[in-house]
Amino acid sequence: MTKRIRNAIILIALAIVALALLSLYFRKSPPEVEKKPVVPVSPVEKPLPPKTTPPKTPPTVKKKPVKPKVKPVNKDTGSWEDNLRESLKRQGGPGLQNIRINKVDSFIWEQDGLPLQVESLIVTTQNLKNEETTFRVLVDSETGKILKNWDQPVFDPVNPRDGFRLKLDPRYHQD
Amino acid sequence: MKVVRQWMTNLFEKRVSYGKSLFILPLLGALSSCNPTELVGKGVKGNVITNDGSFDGKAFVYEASPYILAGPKYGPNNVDMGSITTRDAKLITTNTRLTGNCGMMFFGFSVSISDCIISLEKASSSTQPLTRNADRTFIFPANSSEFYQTNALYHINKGTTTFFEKLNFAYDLIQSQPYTVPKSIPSYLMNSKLFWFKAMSSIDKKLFNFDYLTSYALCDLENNASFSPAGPTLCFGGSPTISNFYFVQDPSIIYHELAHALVSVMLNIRNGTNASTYHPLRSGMGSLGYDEAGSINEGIADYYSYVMTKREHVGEYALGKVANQSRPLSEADPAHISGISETSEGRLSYPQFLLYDPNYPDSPIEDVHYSGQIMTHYLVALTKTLKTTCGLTSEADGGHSKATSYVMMVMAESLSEMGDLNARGIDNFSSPLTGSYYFTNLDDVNSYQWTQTVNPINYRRFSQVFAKNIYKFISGNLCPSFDKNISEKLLDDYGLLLYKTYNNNGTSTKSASIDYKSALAYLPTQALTAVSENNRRKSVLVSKQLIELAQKTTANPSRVGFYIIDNSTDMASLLQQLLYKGFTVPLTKDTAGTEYNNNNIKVSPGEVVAVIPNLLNNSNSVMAGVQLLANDWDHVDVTDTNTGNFKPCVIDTVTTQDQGGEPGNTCTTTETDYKRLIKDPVTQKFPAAGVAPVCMVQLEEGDSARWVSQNEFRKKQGLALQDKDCLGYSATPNSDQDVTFNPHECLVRFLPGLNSANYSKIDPQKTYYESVVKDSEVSSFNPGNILVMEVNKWIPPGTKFRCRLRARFSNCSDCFNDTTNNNDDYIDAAYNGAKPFKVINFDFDVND
Repeated sequence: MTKRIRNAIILIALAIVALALLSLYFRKSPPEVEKKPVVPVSPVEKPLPPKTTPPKTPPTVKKKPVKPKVKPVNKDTGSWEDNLRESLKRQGGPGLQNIRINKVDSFIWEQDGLPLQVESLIVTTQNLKNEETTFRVLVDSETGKILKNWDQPVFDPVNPRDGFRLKLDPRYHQD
Repeated sequence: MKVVRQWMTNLFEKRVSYGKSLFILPLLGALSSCNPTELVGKGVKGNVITNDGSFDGKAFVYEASPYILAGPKYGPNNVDMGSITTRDAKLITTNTRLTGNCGMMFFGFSVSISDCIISLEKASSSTQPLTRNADRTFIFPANSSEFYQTNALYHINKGTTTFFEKLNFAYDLIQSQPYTVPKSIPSYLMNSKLFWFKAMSSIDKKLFNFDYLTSYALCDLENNASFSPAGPTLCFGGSPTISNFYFVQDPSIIYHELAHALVSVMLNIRNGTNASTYHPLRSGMGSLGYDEAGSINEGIADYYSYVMTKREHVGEYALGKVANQSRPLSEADPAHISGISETSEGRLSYPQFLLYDPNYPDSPIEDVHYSGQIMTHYLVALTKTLKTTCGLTSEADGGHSKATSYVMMVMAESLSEMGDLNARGIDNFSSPLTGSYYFTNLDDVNSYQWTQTVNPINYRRFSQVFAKNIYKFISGNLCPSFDKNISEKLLDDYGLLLYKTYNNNGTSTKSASIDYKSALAYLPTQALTAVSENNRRKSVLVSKQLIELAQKTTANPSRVGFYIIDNSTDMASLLQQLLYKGFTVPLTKDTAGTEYNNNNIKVSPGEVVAVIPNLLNNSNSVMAGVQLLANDWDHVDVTDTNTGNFKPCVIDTVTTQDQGGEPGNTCTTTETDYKRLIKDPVTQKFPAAGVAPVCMVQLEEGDSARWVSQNEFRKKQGLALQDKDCLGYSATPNSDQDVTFNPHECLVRFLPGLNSANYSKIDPQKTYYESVVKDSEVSSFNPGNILVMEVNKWIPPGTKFRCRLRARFSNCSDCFNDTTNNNDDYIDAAYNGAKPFKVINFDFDVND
């Protein structure tokens, strides 16, 4: 084989490869076209209907089994926070300066087969000395009533003798 | 101290051309002679200008309080903490902000939580931790806020690092045991990551999936420090009268507060199974005012200070300098009165030293910080005994690290079982136990009620579970020479051998015939281990038959059966104080309130009153850890499921059949479930059996009178009281059983959360008042002694009530164990009924 022929073959082979690569790169899925018969155009003719692309159907996904949603016996009326604040103010009295309520979670609380919609909250109260206390409550989403109360703080005063106490009425043991 | 300026030499080696060096060298010479860089320690405020890298993340810290480092006479006014900082800077954190990291190893797999501790100044200031200085150090001027935040983190990091080392030791040891050994610390701890807290990402965000503890070094708290599990936060306050005095200046207090956090972690270590499944509630130790769970919590917290400092005293500076209230941790401490010593006879034993304040021994006082000393002294003595008995004294640190690891291992295993709100106690290999098998705290629905109210941790329960785990993992594994006898004798020295068996036979909470093997066939039958009675010399057990309500007698004419506090100001203060401590109370609107309180020290319509039953100890020994329950319990026989009306069971000689009592039917058994006597929202019927409110009413019918439910009374007595006029009324019938309207407490009810009272001790042949209150300097009650009752304003004056309260105490011989069943402990369900208790009949008339 002469050098010229060899070069020609190489060139042709390269061209074929290049063409193949190009075609791969620019290849598109052929649009799904509704095949309609070609209507010959007459002098007085109706325009061709526009090409329509049928909607793509999503690929079928295997559905995971879904736990049946439990329907709670109560409902969130949107007033639980106000009711909660009211009950805390009632207990705290004038010594309560501020209440902050932060929602942690909202879920269905199933106790004894009774599913309840509840709010898990962190409550922070502030007294007149600006001292804050934080604790947790679980509240009925319908009534705002506190169902459970936990995570109270542990205090370590400098002098435990100064802690809160209730004095015995002097009418007892007047001896 | 001078820092090598590496840039001076490195620059010439690598970068500077020969020509340039001719110019730069003389310049450097001039600069170095100024000597601007001095990183110094003791006595000098840090003004760091440069750092060669060896001070990255470091700062100068105080390793102990001014009392320890500068002497007892130093302070507390205007102390200069800079004068006692270390000579060498210590690593604070490798993070670029003032945060710490946590982590554990699980058989080679590391699980870490970065930024698990955040150190801040106070809640009202920035929520972002300080970043490192530009020189990459955390060196700040001594006595500044930044200085204290840095030191707080240093000590908290030290404390948590030690804790994780010990928890790792516990996990490795326990999980290495054969599968035939029941375990509490769960193998899936790696997945749940409950070796640390869950917290909100920020106070404004509503996400609860971050893991950090916040420390406030200079928080707005007067004369106090605190741990709040809801944060979770540590708060170190100051003094309004002593300038520059702060709790954070005393590392022993930092370790004490941190230990409350670690107790919270250990209690809840079983309350989650993986990264997304956690019990919505959390266990705690201690309620309002005095109780034994709170005492033990304080005792453990003081003990942890000993673990970290190795000193047998706590709070010398923060408590001692300002209020003379520091506490010794062992009998060897000279702060004790004479007679207290490290001998069997001289130990700080229960219950004799429950009210003992070593600083004022002639002024006994009922408070958890004093009663907790018994637990601290026991734990320190246990540690010391382990060091010698287990041959650990030859270690470089005298065996301190190993011995405290043994103790903390037993602590974690014990607390994890007692705090389990899923109510299992053990697992099925590496997975949580499922099904209807429960081995602690009754069941997963009522576990919180059981741990906090019905069967809370007290000195008896804690000592028993602790001893069981010592027997299992120390005597049975780590250190056989610390055998059962030595363990029992030491417990007895402290008066804590309060049980007859170790309750280690694995019976379920609802049936004595179901045990671990019923749930998990691969587990062998667990034998019940009895205490050797020869070892019981100081721990005196007393029968519950000898406790009763005091009565006025000829010999004691001043005795009173119960005390009433109905001063409206006092009651309002009590309710406010409860809220300040985080305890909410479900007060009824309109039908009762402190506005009706008339201060006549009687029970009147409409009032909210404090009731303190005055219990009498008829025995010749001290009764301790007395608990009085006013919650619902199984004491009635339901006669009509349409109304829930009932007959009271004949339990004692006080309420007889002639008075409407029922001896048979459902009264012969105890309900195993805690099911309140409320209307089912679906069937609209009451259960045929359940737990009922404690208070009944006397219904007069002609010449006879009988005890009936409040519901029956309000219908029959012509009151025509509608549901809406009842206490605790709620329009919605669908709610948690604890707050659903119960017509059987329409007229009087003990408020949930305030229906359990605790009394530290009652001396022989004395009442509680005579033992604790009468001669105390304050002559008052602490909030833990009080039951709070609402009284319906519509009750006719003269109406008679009988409330069947239940009493028991920690050193009771027949409150916890069944003498007819080898002294095995009662199953949890038994605490629904009368057997473990002495029924105390609190009778009163409603006054006009």
